[in-house]
Amino acid sequence: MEQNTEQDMEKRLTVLMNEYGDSVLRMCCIYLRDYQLAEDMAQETFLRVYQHYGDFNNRSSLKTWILQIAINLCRNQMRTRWWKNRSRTEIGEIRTDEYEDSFLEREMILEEIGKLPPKYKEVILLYYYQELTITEIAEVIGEKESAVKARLVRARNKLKPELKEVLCYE
Amino acid sequence: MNEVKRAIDSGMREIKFTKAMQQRVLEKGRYRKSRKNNRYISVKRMVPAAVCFILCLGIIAAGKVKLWDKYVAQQYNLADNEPVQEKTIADGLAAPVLAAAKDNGITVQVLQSVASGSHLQIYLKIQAENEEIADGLVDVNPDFEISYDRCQEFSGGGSMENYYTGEGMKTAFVEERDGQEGPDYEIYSIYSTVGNGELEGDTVHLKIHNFVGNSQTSPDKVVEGDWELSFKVSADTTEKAYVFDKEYSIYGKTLKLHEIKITPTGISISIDKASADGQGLMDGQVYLVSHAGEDFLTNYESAEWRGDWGVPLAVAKAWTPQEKEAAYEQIENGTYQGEYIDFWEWTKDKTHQIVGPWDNIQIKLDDGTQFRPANSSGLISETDDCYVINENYIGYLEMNQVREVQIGDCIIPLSEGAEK
Repeated sequence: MEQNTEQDMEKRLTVLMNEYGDSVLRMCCIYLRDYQLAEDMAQETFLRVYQHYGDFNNRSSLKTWILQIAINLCRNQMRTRWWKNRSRTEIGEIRTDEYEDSFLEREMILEEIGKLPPKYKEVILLYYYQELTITEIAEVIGEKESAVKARLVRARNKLKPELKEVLCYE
Repeated sequence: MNEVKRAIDSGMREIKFTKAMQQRVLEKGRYRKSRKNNRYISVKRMVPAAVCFILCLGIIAAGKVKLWDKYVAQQYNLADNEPVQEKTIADGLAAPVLAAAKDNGITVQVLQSVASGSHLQIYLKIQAENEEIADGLVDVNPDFEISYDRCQEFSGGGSMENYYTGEGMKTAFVEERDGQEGPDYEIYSIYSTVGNGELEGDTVHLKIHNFVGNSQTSPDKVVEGDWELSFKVSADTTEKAYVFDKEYSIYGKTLKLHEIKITPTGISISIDKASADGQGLMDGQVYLVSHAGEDFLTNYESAEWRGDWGVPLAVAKAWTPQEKEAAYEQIENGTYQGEYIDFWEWTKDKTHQIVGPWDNIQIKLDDGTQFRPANSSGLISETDDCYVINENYIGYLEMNQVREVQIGDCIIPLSEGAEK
């Protein structure tokens, strides 16, 4: 019985990883600007989903919950002493990874978003890439909706003018 | 599909959450589940259970029983220097401490203490009993009090910092080594500065009450528990003192330097009160912010509150209550007079830099290198005649090799003082 439950859980998790895995990994990659770390965080995200699926209370959508875990893991990563030390000396020059060289530099949008401070990057990624609503973003990042709106406006203002034009914000 | 989504998905199309990654998640999940303790212990207890803690009186390990803890030695740049490690243990600077307390499935152990002058740094190893508890400890810091039998605690509880061990503790307490998982630990350190009395031989009492969440990201999170630890402090009492009684200019202000004292882990600078009063420099809350080359004096307390940051002090002081309220409202909304202001970013970005004079003390050595390790705590105490700036460093200082001390923009050669 228990084995069946576990198999069911693994099936559910596989469906979730198929559906959200790529976008979670890419979001972590832009957030952290480090492919290896992003891979770790994306895997850890689904591992947490596996472990805590029973705690998911349906107050939010599964997608919102998964993104909340991913964002929190990335934030935690950026709070580590190791990260801070690295950021202090290498920020802006971290992108030595072959993925980032080949993709992020080529794409102005990715580069610009990647350079944003974390709190702006979060809202841009969640709004435009994950296509969450303001309400959902507020839930993911633990802020009021008004704060999310204000942050989106400021995030857009920090981007290059030509990029601002492609980002429509209602 | 919007432009951002299109750009990310096309630009990063080769970045995929692969089947191999999925498989790793499933395998790791199964593994964690298999070693899950059947006896689930709630991290945040709904009803506080009877507090059960073990109170241990720490014992300082005698003599040269062992070298510094490997991790702590790395912090002090002594990992590869056994002779200095042995010397510092003999001098009393570093001492392994046998004190630990356990509550709610979490063990807090004093790993090592480092003490010299008026500064004590305690390194704590925090380890959770099982994974559920460990998960709860992510993004929390201990809420603690510190006191002494004889000395007066000056720094009001000190500050605590969580260190990344570099051994796999990225987001939780569990690490994986060669496919074998086991509970990991976190290392915290506490600074404490005493205002009077000698640390050497005094008994320190540390009380941790709950681990509380990061105020910005997990403000409501609490991992309950009480941990009490006591141990006798072993401190290095060696120091070098230089008397100056000369005037120096710091950021254009003139003040009289009385004395500089150096210990292996800290420095104390005494400034004549009469020469400094009225210039704003000795107010611990007044900081200097450099914004694109232009300096502003600003009020730290308000800055922390996201208040006056970057606003010229003279302007801020002249505000009426209504003007102040209006300015704060602007700042809270993200700008002041059209310019973006945010406390955290101002401390980090390239155009805004905090350069508080007492936050910018550097020690220059004979070989021309500058000693300013990654972490320091600056506190200002006072005697009848002097303000005393205390800086405690994480790092070991060879006192005999110090040539100059720089405070803000002022360089003070020790040769200009008379060694006591």
